[in-house]
Amino acid sequence: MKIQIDVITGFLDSGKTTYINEQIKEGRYLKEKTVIIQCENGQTEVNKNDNIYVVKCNNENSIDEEFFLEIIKEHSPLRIVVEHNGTWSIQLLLDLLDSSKLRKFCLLDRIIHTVDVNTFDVFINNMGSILTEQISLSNTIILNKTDNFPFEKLQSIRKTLKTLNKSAKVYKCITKKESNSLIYECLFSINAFPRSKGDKLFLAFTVFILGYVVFALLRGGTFSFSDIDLSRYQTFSTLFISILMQAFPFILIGVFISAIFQVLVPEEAILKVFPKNPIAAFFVAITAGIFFPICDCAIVPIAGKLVKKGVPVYCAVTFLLAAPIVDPVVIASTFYAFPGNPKIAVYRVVIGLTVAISVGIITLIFGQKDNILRNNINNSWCGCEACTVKNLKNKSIFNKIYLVFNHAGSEFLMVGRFLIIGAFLSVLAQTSLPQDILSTISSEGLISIIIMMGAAFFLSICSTSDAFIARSFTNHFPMSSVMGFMVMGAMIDIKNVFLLLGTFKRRFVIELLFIIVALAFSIITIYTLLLF
Amino acid sequence: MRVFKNYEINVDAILKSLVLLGFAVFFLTSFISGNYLFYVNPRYGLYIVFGAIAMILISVFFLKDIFKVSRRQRPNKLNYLIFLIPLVIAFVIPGGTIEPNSLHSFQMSVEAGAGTGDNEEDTEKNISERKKLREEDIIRDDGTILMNDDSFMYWYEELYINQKRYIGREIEVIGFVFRMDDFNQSEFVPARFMMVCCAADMQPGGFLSRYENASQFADNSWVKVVGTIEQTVFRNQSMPVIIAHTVEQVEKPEMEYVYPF
Repeated sequence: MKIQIDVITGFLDSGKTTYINEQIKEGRYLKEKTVIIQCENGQTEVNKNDNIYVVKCNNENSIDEEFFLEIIKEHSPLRIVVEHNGTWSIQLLLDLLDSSKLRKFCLLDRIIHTVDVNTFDVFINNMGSILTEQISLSNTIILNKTDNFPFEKLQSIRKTLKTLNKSAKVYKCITKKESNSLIYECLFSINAFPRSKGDKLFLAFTVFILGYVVFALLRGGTFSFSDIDLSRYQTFSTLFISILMQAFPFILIGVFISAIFQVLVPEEAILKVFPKNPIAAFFVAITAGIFFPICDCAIVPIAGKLVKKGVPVYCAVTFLLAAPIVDPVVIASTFYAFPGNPKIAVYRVVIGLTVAISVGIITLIFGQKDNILRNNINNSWCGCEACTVKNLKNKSIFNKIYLVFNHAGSEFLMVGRFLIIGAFLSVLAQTSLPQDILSTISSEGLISIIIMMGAAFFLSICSTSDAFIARSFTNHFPMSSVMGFMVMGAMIDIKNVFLLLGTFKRRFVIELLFIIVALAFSIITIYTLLLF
Repeated sequence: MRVFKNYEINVDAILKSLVLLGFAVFFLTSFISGNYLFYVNPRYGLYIVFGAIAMILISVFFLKDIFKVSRRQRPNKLNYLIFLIPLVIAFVIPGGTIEPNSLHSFQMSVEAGAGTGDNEEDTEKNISERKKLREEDIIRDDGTILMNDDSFMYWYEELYINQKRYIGREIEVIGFVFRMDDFNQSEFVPARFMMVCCAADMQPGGFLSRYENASQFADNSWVKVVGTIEQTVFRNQSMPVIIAHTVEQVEKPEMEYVYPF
């Protein structure tokens, strides 16, 4: 029989020792020889008895394999309870317990996190990743001091916990009036639900595919997918896959750059590049794009990473919008697309930058202070290790490479699914709308600018090649609206909106989209009056 | 059983790896078989290989976690379901050439290359340098302009840009019959699909041709047109037109698309 290990986390005064005492009182730790390792000197003392030994430990570094092995040798307990210090890294402890040496003797049983509901909001906003790490790694969460705590607030805490940890059992501690003892009442447990919605769909899909194959086998003897007439869907399939095939490599480049930022580049270094002075910062945001000559879809994860690393939102937004405009490949392709008319390429850069900077200025003035990243409460937005582990500096090179790949992969899967939805919708629009819709609509004046901006949005053509498509519009539409197509198309389109949704909060993306459309439209109109 | 808890297999890591490996296999097989040309411009070939290798490496690193218990959030399998949709589509409905009439004509076609009219000579130089075409591949010994797989884009741009210079020259084009609503009975375009970036931005392109018995050729059938280049005004736009001497049915070329750049 292996030694069971319980780990109890939570900040000072959150009720860790009280919980242990309650457990002792209820008899959980009575029958078996138990060692309690206390890493914190709290107000409450452990109620000792014959079977319980308390070991104090005040130094995080002294907890290593030897430390545990010695305790096991000295006491040969059946259970070890680690009352962890709330400010130490739980990940390190768990890694230690997972090490092959200790796994021979011990087995992790429960990871309990205790919460003082009265201070929860303050801690989650100020302690950030230390607390979210503890919550997301627990399998049991205890809400303490809930007597007289308003019900609505308790609900909001439950909601927050749910976003951080979908599988833990959550208990509410209430005082029983008559005997003045504490009772832990199970509030909710995700494990109790049979299957999540996603699981059901996944299962249904698999069953459908398998059933289909079996059905075809029974009916036709030998089965071949080519027996089914799928040519009707071939156009859709080809267009859909083509967008993914073209965008995936660029997104991979983007997430790798983002992962390298995350793992290898310290935050201060990135912040140093972006100066405090807004004017200088705008200049940096614009020129930074020249050094990222990659497809517009690769920029999104990088911009998200900049925000996460503490770069002001307006800088990141300006960078996001300006990068595809100043991309040397985009400029060159615009030159080629309009041979003998280099002015077009210059106008595109000038107008595009005007829009990018204006959007940046608006974000600077009206930008809210809230976090705009998805899953903002936990820094582990992609749920991978690189985002939660704090002290990356101590890691070995192999470990860092592992983290880069792990992070890049997690982020790719996160962003990629939004790209898939975006590509799907874009192709649906292309194949299902009536033919020649653009040539039949009025092509005069301001309306045509809106139409072309809309076309750019829904067609989602890669910014490096949209100039060639734009050229084919020149006969039907005035130059101003073709410019609208090229400026809008490079900055934002349906594919990018979904990519942004994978990184930023929904509300921020919608606001940003409206600001971009409104500004791009008005700026192009102004330039039209001046230039064309 | 509690005892085995630490040896539980990490389903999340396996699903992640499988999704990535699936795409990597699809990318590699398409690249090796050349099918990727149905989807994207050849210049993306190396990017596709890079993407496949990157995904394989990532999935190897994910697989390292297979026996590591995931204490983080339980994976929502819906996320992977979304990736399965394109994967299944990619393998079940293989990419193929697209029927012109099924492609949405957001893009205008015949006069696609037009716009700037006659131009300076340096533009012409730029194009030919860029394409690195050999003279004998694009012009026959008797001076006939040859528009084949390789030279289609070159001549397409060149003839629109320097229309006047080529008036009266002989030309030979292979393309599919493409008609638009406002064409008359004798008019059609021997067109090719031009793929700038990926299949989603394909547009048919070619020169307006006039041939007395044009109506005997069905839409989308492949033809070889031999004729003389003239200049005409169509939709208020000056453009080259091929006055065809002969039009004959031909087999469709192995690669139906042409790739600018």
